[in-house]
Parts: sequence; C-alpha cells; structure tokens
Amino acid sequence: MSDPKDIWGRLEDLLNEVEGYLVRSSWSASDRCLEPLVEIENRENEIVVTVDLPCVEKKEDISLEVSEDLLEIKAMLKQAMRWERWGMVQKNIEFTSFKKIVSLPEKVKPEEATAVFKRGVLKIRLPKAYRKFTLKVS
Amino acid sequence: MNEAMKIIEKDGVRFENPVVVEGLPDIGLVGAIAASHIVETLGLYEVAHFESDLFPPIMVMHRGVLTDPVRILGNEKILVVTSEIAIPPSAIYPLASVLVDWLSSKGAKLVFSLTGFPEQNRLEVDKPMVFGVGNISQAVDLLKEYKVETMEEGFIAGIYALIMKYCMIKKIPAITLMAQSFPNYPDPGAAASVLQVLNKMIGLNISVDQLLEKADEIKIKGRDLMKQTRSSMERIGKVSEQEIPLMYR
Repeated sequence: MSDPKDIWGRLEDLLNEVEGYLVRSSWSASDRCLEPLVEIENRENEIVVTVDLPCVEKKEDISLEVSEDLLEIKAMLKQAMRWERWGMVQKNIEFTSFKKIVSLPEKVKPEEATAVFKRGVLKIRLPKAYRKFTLKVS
Repeated sequence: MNEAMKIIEKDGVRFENPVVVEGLPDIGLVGAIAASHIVETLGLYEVAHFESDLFPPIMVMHRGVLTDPVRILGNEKILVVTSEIAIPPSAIYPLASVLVDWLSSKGAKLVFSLTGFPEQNRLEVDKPMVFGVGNISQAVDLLKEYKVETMEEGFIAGIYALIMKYCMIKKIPAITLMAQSFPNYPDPGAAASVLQVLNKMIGLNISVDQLLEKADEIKIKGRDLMKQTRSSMERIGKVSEQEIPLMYR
C-alpha cells in the first residue's frame, strides 16, 4: 500500500504545479488595460514595490494612489497597442494603459511614500507604519 | 527509454553534427527571447517536439496552425530548443535526459544554454556582462579562447545545469552563457548580450538591432510567460544560485 505521506506530498506538488498555470488574465477588455509585472520587497522598515512599465515614456503618464494597505498604479502607453492575430476577442482590443492594484503586505505611511521612474521601471518606497527600533542590551 | 517524456521527430530531417542552442524559459526569459530571435532571423523550421503528460494540456496556435509548445527548431547545422510555456519542475529531469540522449544520437557537437543571472542593480547596467560555465575541458577551453569570464565557484540551478551534466556523461561539450538580467522581468537587453557572445563563439552573424528596437513590445508580450516561469523557478531551488558553497577540496 502507498505511504499516505507520499500521496499528500504528490498532491501538494500537483497543486503547486497547477497553480503556476492558473495565473489570472493579464489584461482587461473593459478598460483596455494590461497588467504590469510587479515585485514586492518586504524590507525591515519599508516595502519596496517595483513595476515594469515598458512602452511608458514619461513620469507624467503615471498616476499613483496609495492608502495604508493598497497601492494603485495606472500608466498610459506611449501608443495604443493591438495584436491583430492574437486570440478571439483580444485581436479587437486596443490597449492604452497599464493598471494594477497591489495589496501591501503591511500597513504603510502613504504620506511618506516616494516614487522614481527610470528606464521603464517604477520604484515605489513605502515606509512601514510600524517601524522597528534597535534596543541596547545592558 | 524515458517513459515520462519523448521527442517526436519530423520525417526527412538530416543533421550534420549540429550546434545546439537551448533557450527554455528561465531568469529574465533571456534564453527564450534569444532563441526566438535566432529562429526568426535564420528562418528555422520545426524539426521535433516534446510530448509528455508532465506538461499542462496546452497547445499553441501560430498563423492558424496547431503547434506544440515545447519544440526543437533548426536545420542541418543548428538546433534551437525552445518553449512557449514554463517547464513544470517535475518535467525538468526527464526533459533534460531525453533531450541529451536525442542530441547525442544526432551527433551534436556543441550545446549552448542561454540564460540570465539575477542582477539586483540591473537598472544601472547599460550593457549586461556575460559569464560562462563549461562542462568539460573542451568547453572550458572554448570559453577561454573567446575570453568569456567564467564562474569558478558557485551553484547553478535549472534545466541547463542538468543538460550540462548529462552532456558531460555523453562527453558532449556544453556551455551555459549567462547575462546580467532582471530576475523577474523579461530582459531583451540581456538576451542581446548573450547573442553577441554566441555570435562570436560559433560564427553566427545575427544582428541584435531589431531585438533591441522591439524590446518594449517583447517585454509586454513576455509578461504571462514570465509569471509562469517565476512560479516554476521558485519551486526548483533557483534561489540556491545565490548561495555560497562550502568550497572544500
């Protein structure tokens, strides 16, 4: 008889594998936007969100809204994009922007957040609401 | 024979000790982007595809034609191994093993894997540097001859590590070329850097101008494959490439 641990281990592997392919659609027809790739780094005193924004030309084309636990990124593409041979409905969509709402892993101080856009990559630094302090041991 | 994976070859293809370029999805999709550019530039055609129940049930439509996602394209002299889906961790061992057996049976003379290595300060890097790893002395000598900086100590993790190992068993020289890359974003700039080194090493003359001109569009098109690949890489211990080995002798 098979070892039940093996079966659960295999099941977990399988679920992990399936999860990798069940990625949500990275575009939306209703607001003609694409979802950008995002990295979230949870550092000691801050959360750093990096967003890849190819085809976005200038910082003025980016809008950011930050609350304590959410970050909303919108950016206009320098020109609308359409892939004429892609999919069934997709070929008719002209994409004009990027849009992404990021759930932050911890509460931040939105008023102290800063953002820099360089070479198509947007980096947003969000200081954590609860900072850690170093204590001296006596 | 491997039960989990097989290569289905097209009829009538002849090979003359081909050079092989593996560009499966990995860090920054460097290999996948470079492989796709080689296929497009040289007008290579499908010579074989991989079949396995370990792959997700996905086929791809290209110009209205149903196509397998994990394929070998090429001609008599060059073969390019590429995939339009992330390779599931469970398929990595059988794929590398079956591929090297098949390449050996075709008399492959040299195998290249093209990939990236994560560079945290990639934004500050204008032209990504390329490093090389060779599996046997012949491969290492070739890297030296073309003055490619090599890695002396460290881990390599991913399908190219296994391809180099299985090639070593078959005594086929194999080289991995790695360019500084964004870890989690498609990186056409890094792909251009590895292609320039490959150009020199095997006398190809593939221009990277168009690749760089279309970089933004490639990055947009590569988002979904990058997401899948990121998820797959997390599960194969890719992070161990950043770790320090004990270095005992």
